[in-house]
Amino acid sequence: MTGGWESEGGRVRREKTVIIYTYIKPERFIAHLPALREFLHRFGRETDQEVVVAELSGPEGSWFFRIKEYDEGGR
Amino acid sequence: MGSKIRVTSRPASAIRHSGAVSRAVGPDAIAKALGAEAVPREDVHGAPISMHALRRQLEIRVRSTGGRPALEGATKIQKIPLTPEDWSRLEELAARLSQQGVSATAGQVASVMVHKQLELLGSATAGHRQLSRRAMKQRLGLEQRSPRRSAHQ
Repeated sequence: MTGGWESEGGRVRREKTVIIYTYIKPERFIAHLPALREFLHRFGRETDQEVVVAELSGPEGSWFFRIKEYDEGGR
Repeated sequence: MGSKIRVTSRPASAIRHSGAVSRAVGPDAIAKALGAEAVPREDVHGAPISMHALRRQLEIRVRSTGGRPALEGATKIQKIPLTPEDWSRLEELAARLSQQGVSATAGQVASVMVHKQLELLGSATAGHRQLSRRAMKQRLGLEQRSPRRSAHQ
């Protein structure tokens, strides 16, 4: 799959990407938020991403959680 | 030609969920826990509707009230010209969604797609109008130049 996103400066960058959607159990999801944070920040840091985004959809709508500044390693 | 089937039994009573209700967690709390900025999906201009979002909308909006399942809120039936290829693609999408357990007609799929795109177009043009007013203020010296808007995913 090829995805496009608008980077700083308004340029559309296209790259091959992988999207995985999964249903979640709210309580377990909340319990694992620290581990998810650690993964998303490490992913952004170690693969030198300008931005990392997680998407969450529910009956009230869909939200993007956009991370541009990553935690220091070993947090 | 066979005669029309009439259902004479009483309609089934509504299903009531009696299990435990999960605690609702707002996007701000999740954003804080993830060290992220929460952005409503609708504010990400220009993004076409994804299969996931399409499936989700149909799951929420297609309701059966005893007869043929209808798309909630879509009360206006209009003839809209389409190319045969587009209609075929809509039928393929409806069939694909049906295989995934979401029963919807090609017309309902088209209705959801048009609705979402019109919403996106509306928010995008509203954003454009805001920017234009800001640009006008800057030109007139009524407002200091603000930092560049952040990029969207």
